[in-house]
Amino acid sequence: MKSHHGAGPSKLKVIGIPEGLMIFEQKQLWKKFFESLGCHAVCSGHTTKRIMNSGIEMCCNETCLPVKAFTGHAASLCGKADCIFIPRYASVCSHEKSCPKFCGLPDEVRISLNNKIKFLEIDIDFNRDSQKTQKSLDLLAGELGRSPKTVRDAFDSIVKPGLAAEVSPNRSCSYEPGAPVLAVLGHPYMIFDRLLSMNLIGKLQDAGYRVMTPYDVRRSVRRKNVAPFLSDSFFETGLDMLGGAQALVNLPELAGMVYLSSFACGIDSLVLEIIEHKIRNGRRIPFLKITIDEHSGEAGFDTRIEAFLDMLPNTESIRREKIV
Amino acid sequence: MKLTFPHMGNTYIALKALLDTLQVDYYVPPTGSRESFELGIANSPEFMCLPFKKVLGDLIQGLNHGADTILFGNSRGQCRLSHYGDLLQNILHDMGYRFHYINLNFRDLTYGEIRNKLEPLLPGGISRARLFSAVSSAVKTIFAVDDLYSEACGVRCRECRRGDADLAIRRFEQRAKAAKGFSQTRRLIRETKDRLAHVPANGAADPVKIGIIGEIFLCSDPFTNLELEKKLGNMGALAVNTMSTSEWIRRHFISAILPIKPKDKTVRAAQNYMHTDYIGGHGIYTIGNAELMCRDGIDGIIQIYPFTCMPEITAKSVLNEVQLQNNVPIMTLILDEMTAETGYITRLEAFVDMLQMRKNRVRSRFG
Repeated sequence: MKSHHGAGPSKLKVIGIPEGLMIFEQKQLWKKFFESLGCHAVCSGHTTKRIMNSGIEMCCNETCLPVKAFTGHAASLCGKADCIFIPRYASVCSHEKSCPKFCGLPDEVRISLNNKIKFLEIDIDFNRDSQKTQKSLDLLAGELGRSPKTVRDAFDSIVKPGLAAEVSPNRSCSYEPGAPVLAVLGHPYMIFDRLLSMNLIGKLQDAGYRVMTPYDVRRSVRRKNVAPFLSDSFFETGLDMLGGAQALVNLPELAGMVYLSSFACGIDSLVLEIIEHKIRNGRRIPFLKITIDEHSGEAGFDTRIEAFLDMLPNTESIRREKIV
Repeated sequence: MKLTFPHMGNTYIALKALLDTLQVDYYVPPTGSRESFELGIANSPEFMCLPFKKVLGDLIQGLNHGADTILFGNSRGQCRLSHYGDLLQNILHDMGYRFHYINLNFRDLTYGEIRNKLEPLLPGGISRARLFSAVSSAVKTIFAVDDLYSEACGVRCRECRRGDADLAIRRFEQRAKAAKGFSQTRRLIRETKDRLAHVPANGAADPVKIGIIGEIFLCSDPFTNLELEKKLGNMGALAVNTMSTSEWIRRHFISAILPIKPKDKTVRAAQNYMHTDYIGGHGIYTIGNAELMCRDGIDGIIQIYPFTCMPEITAKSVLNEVQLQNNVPIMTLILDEMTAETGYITRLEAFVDMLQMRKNRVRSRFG
């Protein structure tokens, strides 16, 4: 293998980064990572109807909506990039693991796209085997025509600190005491994606509420709140939800909680049960569960939100304020 | 103290003999009981997977019948099984039950682990040697029972009089419930094997061979998979189940006590499609077994998994490629508590018919 140092020419010039699932939160990291290696990185942008429909057509039927949207994002990059980069997230730090679907994601997407474009991947499995990451970085270095050391250094300095970032890039708002708060729970790539979430956060804000998500709580606080919880390793988003919900439930201004889940999500089936259990036995907060898939209609979705908001105590005063 | 445990296929036969030998008082929840299943469904989260609901139902039945200790476990894998234990305890506590929970670690199921967890149950204690021999006998029994069932599959699809093999197995199950200890169970297995060997077979029969892959609980539990093996056999197809309880023991118990871990050829076979060795649960084995069976020559494959099973969904998205590469039809059946048996039978019949026609066509062309 010929090794290049510094900003030598790479074989693959344009790297496509699909903006979905875990990359939704971390696209800036990966973009910077590839740019530091002298590649040009293109992101697929916001989810559009077109991206979603192409993903739904290509994917295996039983998989969840975010995976379908992700496949659509990857497909939209064909023609714009030389290759598509999909990291294989198994766990970003010890005692945490990601959804099992992420472990097979690069292969799943590759097969859904009929192998028509080259794929790059990195194994991220810090809970079971961090050696795997090093090996996959070396492979990546070969593909990009860089020295393994450059790639490892770039990964360690740019990506690694951001994988389990203390402050999430997707903070929904700044917190001002006093205003009535609605907590929106759900996977970040669901609740912050305008199309997948049918603009849930925007709709709640328009109704006069301050929206907070678990990602407004610092990561260390989220983790501390779930400390005495469950057995030794748990799903990362599950921990975010549980710890975040625990922090938010103690806000005196909290008026209600909305959990947005995609149909047949395995992690949510567990996490929802535990959060409901906690709320039932603790401070009794109005709680709305919304499950969506590609067949959900926006009108029905809006009706459910309106009904929930009407049911909340003190809605009258907020409405009046808003009109004035 | 009275122990109870959930069912998974036919493990109860070996487990019962083990507890008899250790002289532990126990209650076996009724096998194949719709009533316990309904109890589990009513008290489980809606989107939790089918095995969880079945396990919860069995445990509720056990606690209702005077058991005060539950024997189950936790794994540490990527799938939801790793949190069954916590959720089960939460739900049962909320329902008002008080019990002692024995949490076996399925990821590292060694003799030491079993001894540590079971010792407090045995008032007089137990010597290392006795426990070792009892657990080994239980493992042997699990293998023998699985062997018996796969033998029954071979007989069923060739029998002259439909129902002979089923009758032998039904009698075995009835008598196994009353059997005490390993020697009785072993004798029973031998007798049933004898009986199966004497079932008159149609020498001209050339059954289509169908491989069963998928989620291990469903593959090995005839109640939840709506007796898949039996149904296929009675349609004249030879069912080859790759995911049995003995398979589970081989992967989790025997490999845990082996000093050297051999390279798994199933995992290697899967790597043509998945560039990783782990996608949670037994997902990678689903793909690997499909590929291996295709290479060995099989007429068709059925993947079976509970609705919302995450590892199997990942595996499924790749199976289409396996099917195309090897030109072997793969059908996926997804089961949940709403699955209607009639629709299930229709799909199986259509699949078996299709495979038979395919086989005949190939034979008439080359034969």
